[in-house]
Amino acid sequence: MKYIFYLILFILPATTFGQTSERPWYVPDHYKLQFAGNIGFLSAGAGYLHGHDKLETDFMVGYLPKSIGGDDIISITLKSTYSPWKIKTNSDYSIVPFSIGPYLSYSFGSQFDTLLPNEYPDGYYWWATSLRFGAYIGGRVTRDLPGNINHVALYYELGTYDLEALSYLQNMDYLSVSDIFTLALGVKIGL
Amino acid sequence: MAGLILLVSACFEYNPNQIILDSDEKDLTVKNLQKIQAEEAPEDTMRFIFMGDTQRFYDESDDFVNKANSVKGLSFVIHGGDISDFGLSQEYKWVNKIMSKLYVPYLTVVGNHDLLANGRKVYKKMYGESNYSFEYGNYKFIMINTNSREYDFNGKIPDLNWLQNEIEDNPNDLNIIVVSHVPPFDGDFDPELEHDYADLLATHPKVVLSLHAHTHSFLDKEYYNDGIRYFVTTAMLHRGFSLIKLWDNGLEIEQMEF
Repeated sequence: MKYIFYLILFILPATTFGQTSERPWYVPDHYKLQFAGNIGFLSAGAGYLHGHDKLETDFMVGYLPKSIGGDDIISITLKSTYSPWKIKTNSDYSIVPFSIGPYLSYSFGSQFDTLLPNEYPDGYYWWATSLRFGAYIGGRVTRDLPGNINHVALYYELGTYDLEALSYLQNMDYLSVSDIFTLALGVKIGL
Repeated sequence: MAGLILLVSACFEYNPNQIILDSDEKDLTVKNLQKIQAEEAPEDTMRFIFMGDTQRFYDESDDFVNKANSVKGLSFVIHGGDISDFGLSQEYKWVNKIMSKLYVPYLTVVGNHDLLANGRKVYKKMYGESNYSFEYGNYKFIMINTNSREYDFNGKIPDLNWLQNEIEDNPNDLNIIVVSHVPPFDGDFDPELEHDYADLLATHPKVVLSLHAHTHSFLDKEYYNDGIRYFVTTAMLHRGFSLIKLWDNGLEIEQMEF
């Protein structure tokens, strides 16, 4: 949990800049805290808005404690979310009915390799055990706020990753789509 | 309520390398051995299926179970390793779910793919030790980890001291079958230990068979011309397995397709 504390320390000064227009370019547009989704039991991170505010790119740091996941695993993730439509319900709330995005996640640990170690001939194992490429679809509900924090959103994502997707594609009799998709829930704080 | 919590928790995955197992997915070697040994061994011919390399071939593995369940008189099934493909607990769970539909209990040896990423920890938690032995009827089975390359050929895998002790610890003078994933004549077996392994088996008259998987093809021969029969079973991908029949002074191996 210690790293989450450091992350909050990193985030806090940014929120004190207040108005959007006064923020230096490098200060993130939003922060996220996510539960599950194969990038940690909890992951926290920051991101930027671009592409006419329809594209978000986030950097997340995730943690899975041994007591929950059988092993302590820290991971870092780069994810992009494309949300083509936004529906305004009333003055305070809006809904993003559909989002889609890819992610690349790296898990730290001596048992995970990025390059094939020397004891193996070329191509012996074709994937990196430390890196997972995944994708998800999702949606969110946003509430606009007055003051320094511009809005707060709750989001969900249904995601899978390369190795599970491959397993499904080669076993469409035994496995079903629900076997490979799992749920993630998160909070986004927009500045 | 407990059911709901279980259902909800199944919806979430925290890391592909997480190791979260249900209670009926733990210590399966001990549990399945208890089930096997609760049944009296057949007095005349004992039958078991030897198969391997389920890896990510769930459709084929499911078909295998259907075929295996039509074979009468089995005492158990031995999985020759490479239970998983990527060493992920999700894969282990899928394979265990399939293998649990067999009408007899199954046992495993660990394969090289099972040792990848967190697979080593998953195997330990789901099955138990990677070197173990058991007796059934007139036979002693010695199950050993021979995936030398996964340990960078450190000279300790397979553990030949342990193997020798197991072979010599045979007070009832049972016939001995040694089971492992990588055959000694394969490039993934520590070349420094290949001939020590073969000699160890050949110099003990009670050893009758060395069983393997890994190569994804059948092989049945006295590889070192020393009286020890080496048998390799093919992969689920190639839709084949082996039916082994044992009696007091002989055995027969049938290569099967499904």
